[in-house]
Amino acid sequence: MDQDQARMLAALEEMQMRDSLRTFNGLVERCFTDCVTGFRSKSLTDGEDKCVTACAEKFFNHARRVGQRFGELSQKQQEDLMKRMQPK
Amino acid sequence: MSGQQMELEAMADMFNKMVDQCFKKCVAEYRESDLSVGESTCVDRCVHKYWGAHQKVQDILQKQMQAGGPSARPM
Repeated sequence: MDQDQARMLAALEEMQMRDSLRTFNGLVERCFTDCVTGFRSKSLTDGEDKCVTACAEKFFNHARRVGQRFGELSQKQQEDLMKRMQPK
Repeated sequence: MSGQQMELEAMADMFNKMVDQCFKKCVAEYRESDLSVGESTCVDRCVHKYWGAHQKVQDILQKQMQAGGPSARPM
């Protein structure tokens, strides 16, 4: 592996780390805002617990779906680009 | 930062924004962990539209740059 490649890989890893931390914090904020409304007890109520669980799981399912569509679109864009670059 | 790296970052940034936006616009409730049929349809359309808007703005930006040089300012 050459130096350029190693540097790219390290940058990629850092980016992924930063991304997942941000996703995590954003998710906690979103699910807390949408699910937790009362403060009569200090632990999550059954309803809040279920809501937070569904919220987090649903978000990951959603992100996976967006990832699939996103992948299809970028692949198509790549293919179109290749087609345009090839001589007719 | 290399151009390749910048491009990668921009791509990832766009993807994250897309995930956020489409979740906000399409997911209505948290009763179940799975996306409903309606939510899934909405998400698919949302991704395509976000992508379309991205392309559109990119085209316009490119035209502006070509017309006024790199120092062209919007408005």
